[in-house]
Order: sequence, then C-alpha cells, then structure tokens
Amino acid sequence: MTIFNYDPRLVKTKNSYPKGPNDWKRFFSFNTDAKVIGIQYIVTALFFLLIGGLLGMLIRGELITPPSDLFDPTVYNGLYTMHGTIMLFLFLFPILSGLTNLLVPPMIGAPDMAFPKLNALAFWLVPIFSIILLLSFFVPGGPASSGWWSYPPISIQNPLGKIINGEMLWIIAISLSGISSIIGAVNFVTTIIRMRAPGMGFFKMPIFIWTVLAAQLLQLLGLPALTGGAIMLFFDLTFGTSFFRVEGGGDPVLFQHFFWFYSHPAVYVMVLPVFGIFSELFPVYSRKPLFGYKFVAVASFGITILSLVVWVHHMFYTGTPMWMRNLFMFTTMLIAVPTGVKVFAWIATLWGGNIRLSTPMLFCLGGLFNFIFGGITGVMLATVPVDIHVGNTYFVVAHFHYIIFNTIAFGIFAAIYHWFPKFTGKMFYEGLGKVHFALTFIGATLNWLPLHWAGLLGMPRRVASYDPEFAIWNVLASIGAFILGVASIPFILNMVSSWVRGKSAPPNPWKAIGLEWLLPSPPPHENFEEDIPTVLNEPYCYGLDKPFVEDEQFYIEKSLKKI
Amino acid sequence: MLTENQNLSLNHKPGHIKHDGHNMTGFIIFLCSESIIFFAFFVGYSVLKISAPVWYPTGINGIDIKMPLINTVILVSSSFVIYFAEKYLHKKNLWGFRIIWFITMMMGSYFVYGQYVEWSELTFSLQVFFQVAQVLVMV
Ligand code: HEM
Ligand SMILES: [Cu+2]
Repeated sequence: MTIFNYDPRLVKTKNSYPKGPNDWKRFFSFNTDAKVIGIQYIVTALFFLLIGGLLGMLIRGELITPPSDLFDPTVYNGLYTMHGTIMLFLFLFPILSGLTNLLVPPMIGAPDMAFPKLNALAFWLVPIFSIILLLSFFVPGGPASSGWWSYPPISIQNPLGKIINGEMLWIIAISLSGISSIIGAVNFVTTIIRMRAPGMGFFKMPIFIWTVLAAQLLQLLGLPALTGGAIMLFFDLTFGTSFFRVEGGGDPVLFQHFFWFYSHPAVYVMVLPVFGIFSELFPVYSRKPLFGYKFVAVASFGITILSLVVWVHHMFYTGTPMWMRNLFMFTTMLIAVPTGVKVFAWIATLWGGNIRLSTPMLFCLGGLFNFIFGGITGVMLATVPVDIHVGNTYFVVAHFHYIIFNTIAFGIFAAIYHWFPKFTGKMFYEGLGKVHFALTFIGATLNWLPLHWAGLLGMPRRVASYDPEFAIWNVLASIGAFILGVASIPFILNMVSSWVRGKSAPPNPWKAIGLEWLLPSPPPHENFEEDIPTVLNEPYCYGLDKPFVEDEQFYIEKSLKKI
Repeated sequence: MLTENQNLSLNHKPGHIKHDGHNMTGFIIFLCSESIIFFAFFVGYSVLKISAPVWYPTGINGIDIKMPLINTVILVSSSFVIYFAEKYLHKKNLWGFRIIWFITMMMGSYFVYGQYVEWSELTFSLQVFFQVAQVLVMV
C-alpha cells in the first residue's frame, strides 16, 4: 500500500490494448485514455446543462406570472422533476467525473487511471442512461413527476397503470447512473491510493486530490443506500410489493431515509471537488502558499465523516420525532466547523496576496462569495424552528441553488478556464471569459437572491401558480434565469473558437506549481511516460524557495520542447 | 531512463504483481461499497418488521424454518468447500480439484432446488406473475 515501492514504469504493461484512433474520432470511440474520457464527460455534461437550463427557463417562464397559464400543472410537475434530475445526474456528476479524470492522473504523476477499460465503461453508461431518461418524455403519461427526490406515495401511484412509465424509466436511469458512479469511484480511489509519483506522500498531495478522495469515498459509502432504496421503489411500482406502500403495511418515510442517506452526502460529493478547485486556484492567482495546507486537507475528511450523519435535516417537517430532530440539528451545525476551516484558509490565502483577476479567479471569487452566503442560509435551515417555517418553500430552493449553481457550477467554470490551456493546448479569449463571468454572476444573483424573500414570505415550492403578492420576486428571478441563458453564448463561443483556432498554449501559462504544469500542453498520451518526477515538497510553495520536484529544470525543458 | 531490455525484464515479474495489486485494491473497495446495499436491505427489513402490527398476511401463522435453515447451512458451507478446491488447484492436484469442485456444484444445485421447493410451497405471493404476463403481452 505504500507509495515508495511503486514504480510507475511498470504500469506500461497494462496499456497494451488498443487505444482507438488518434484524431477527433477518438472522442466518439470506446477510448481508454483518461484524458479523452475526461473531455467526453465534460462535453456530454455541458450539452445536458443546456437541456436542463432550457427546462429551467421554461419553469421560470411559467412562474413569471401568478396563474398557471403556460403549462398544465401536471406538465409543470414533470418539468421541474426532469430539470432537477438532469442537472444533478446528467450535468453535475458527469462533469465532475470529467474534471477528475483529466486532472487526477497528471496531478499525481500517473500515466492513466488504474482501470482504463472500466473507466470507459463508466463514461459510456452516461449517454445510455441519459437517453433512457429523455425517452421518458415520450411515454404515455409523460416523464416522472414526483420531484427529483421521488418520494412515495406519489412516485408509486402510476395513474395510467402501464408497466413502462416515466417513473420506471427514471428509476432505471438513476440506477445506471449509480453503477457508473460506483465504477468511477472504485477507479479514482484505487488510482489515488496506488499510483502516486515517488515521494508524493499523503501530505504532499494537492488539495484537489484530497477532496476527490474524500468525495469518492463518500460516493462508495452512500450511493448503495440509494440504489437499495431505488430497487425497493422499483418493486413497489412494478411488482406491487409494499416496502413503502402504506396500504400493504409499508413505510413511505423509510424511503426518505434511504434517499437522503445518500443524497445529502451527494451534495458534498459535488461540492468537495469544488473546494479542491478553490484551494488550487487561489494560491496560483494570489501568488501565495495555501494557508493551513494540512488543516484544509484533513478538513475534507471531517466533512466526509460528518456528512454521513446529517441526512435527517431534510426531513425535519415529515413527522420526524423530536429527539431525532435535535440530534441531526446538532450534527448539521457541526459540519460548519470543517467547512469554516476551509473558508478561513481561503480568505487567509487571498489576504495580502498579489491578486490577478483573470476569468478563472473571478469565477472562484464569485463562487466563494456565494458559498459563504449559501452556507449561512444552510445553517438557518438546519435550525429546526426556522426549518419548520420555511421548509418546502422557495427559501430552500434559493439555498440550494446558491450552493449548487452559484458555488459548484462557478467552481466548475473556473476549473474549465484554468485547465483549458493544459488539456486543449490552446489559450481561451480572456475578454469573452470576463463577459461570461459578468453575465453569469448577474444572472445567478438576480435569479436566486430574490427567491429568499419569496420563501420567507411563504411561497411554496413545486407549484405552478402562486399568490400575486409574490409576483415581484418571481419576475426578478425569471429575468435572472433568462440572463443566465444568454450567458451560455459567450461561453460556447469562447470554448469552440479558441479550441479550433486559438493561440497555442505554453506548458505553464499561469506560472502555477503542480505536476500537471510540468507537462507539455496538451500532455502526451502517458503523461510523464518513463520519467516520473520525484516530489520533494508540499504543493503551493509560491514565493518560497522550495523546489517542488527533483530536477525541476529537466521537466520544464522537456515540456518546452513540444512548442 | 531504462533500456529496452531492462524494461522488458522489469515488466515481467514485479509488473505482474503490481497489476494484481491494483485489482485486489479495487476489488476490496468495491466489496466494501457493495456490502452497504445489503445493509440497506437489512435496515429496511428490520424497520418494517419492528413497526408492523401484524407481520404475516391474514391466514398465515408462520413459515417453515427447517428447510431454509438447511439451505443456508449448505450455501454458506459451500464457500468453504470451494476454498479447498482452490487450494488443490494451486497445488496442481487436478483430480482433487475436480472432485471438490463437483461437490461444490452439487451443493449449489441443491440450494437452487431447495429455493424452488420453498417458494412453491408458500400459500401467499405477489401478483408478480400476473404482471410479468402483462409485460409479455405488451411486447
Ligand atoms: C454549509 C452547510 C450547509 C448546511 C448547514 C445546509 C443545510 C441544509 C438544510 C437544513 C436543508 C433542508 C432544508 C429543507 O428541506 O427544509 C438543506 C437543503 C439542501 N441543501 Fe444544504 N446545507 C449546507 C450546505 C449545502 C451544500 C454544500 C449543498 C450542495 C452541495 C447543499 C445542497 C442542498 C440541497 C440540494 C438541498 C435541498 C434538497 C431538496 O429539498 O430538494 N447544501 N440544506
Ligand atoms: Cu443536506
């Protein structure tokens, strides 16, 4: 298990199977190269961001006026269910798997992932379950419409009595997504544990690697509970069992436990890598070492452990006994401690730094600001008396969009810009990037900030019509949503045109410290090939006179020879 | 830098061990994760059983314990038997392996037969068969 007897040269044996073509066609093949798979994941996920965003804008279109005039309320139920499901399972999880695939092997000096074929399998499951999910729009009765959490009894009603219905396809898609995630998690954890470069002990790993490890362990521990719940739900729906059916002696709240036992950790599976991205980028763009590296690293595992024991905060108002509420209120508040350690470390890193406001840094700063805001509303929601009042209102919607879009998606955009030159070999257009940031920040704030007020005034979520007193907040939110839609234009333009005809990127355009920046842009097929560097010091020694790897000059010259 | 020759010789022995090492690590991680799915089923079973005012369907007072018990013993012990089969295989004792392997297979078959008997003797069931028929009609 130790890293020191690991000789990465030996991994070459495993790469004897065919790689697939070497031109653009490789992105459409069963390619086993983690860098190709990473880009496959990211592009697929961004496509579903557009679809999910379109559904979101349809929802906001309906909500711009109080009565339900655009859609039938049943159609509306399907819209928000599919919006949430697509955004989580077809956009966020795949795009984070993509970034992880791109970044983990180069960052730890490995040539590829531990199980390349399984890696490709995990990716190709994504289009399969995506198509299954999208097909549910066309079955009689329409798509699943019981919300992304699919609570029984609504989810097992099956009004048309058809075997193949939207809810059933939803369960199948979610289970396949779970299989894909588990394959990915086994792969990432094995790679990180066994394939680090010589000298890279745990406390010399970049924080991104720490957070990926913490997030993927969470995936391994939590996801099977949801799969188990989904199997029982499938049986209830299709075979008439009564795990969750009250008439047959079942217990619908049991499903809520299975669901949230995974789905609360799931939000941390998504946010942890973004914490990693923040920790990578702040030092680069403020030219300072990361403040409290060891604490930030270990805090990731604090979050992993605590987030396994807070799930009932999503069930405060569904008949949960008082002792349970108090217990889980306490654990939920505790999670603010490791999270606070990280926020403190980032701010201390920025403090007095030589800050460069480039596009990735802007997204990071915006994301951090929004995370602090969303964290505060989170602690409010964790307080049982507050939650009893605002649970199931737009306050919750505002809270989690502040986290999920305004923090996680911001961090993802930051990462895409930051590592774009490394993996495409092209520089992006800084001006377009800034326009993208400005539109995204304005749109996102306008979209979700006003909804806090609507929620505090008592506007319930998941209803197509509402009381006219909430109109002003909804008009603002809808305008914000449409601005967000427009924001995708400079982004797509930037990505496509700079990849096609952008300026060639040098190996290390941001003067960053990290193994991936010692490679040419784009890195060769097996990253460092035979010359795996030996890591000497912890990362982020900006401004300190500590070499990162042995013989650094050799790697810099080797990477430059490519241009 | 390695020469071609060294590379090859390196690839041979330790390379193979390393490869197995990855597989073993991955497999252990996967097993730990998969055990949670069963944990979920057991939790579900206990919660439902504890909170149920009446556990059996009306008219049923209990189910046979003896047959499932025998079945369980056979199933669990077959994993020890197959362990010995593997030992013989490693010792290259082919006939020993074949015989014990055959015994394992017999135990497995008996288990499947026992399951069949158990389920067919139940006097209550789901409407599964009706539903499956419905699917077949649709397809
Ligand atoms: C900083 C600590 C956080 C605390 C204390 C917190 C607390 C809470 C609480 C108590 C709820 C339940 C509200 C209700 O349903 O009435 C909630 C909902 C939610 N939170 Fe957080 N949260 C935090 C951070 C996060 C993070 C980091 C994420 C995502 C990565 C997140 C995503 C969500 C989601 C998706 C929901 C709503 C799920 C739904 O009802 O559909 N939260 N949060
Ligand atoms: Cu939660």
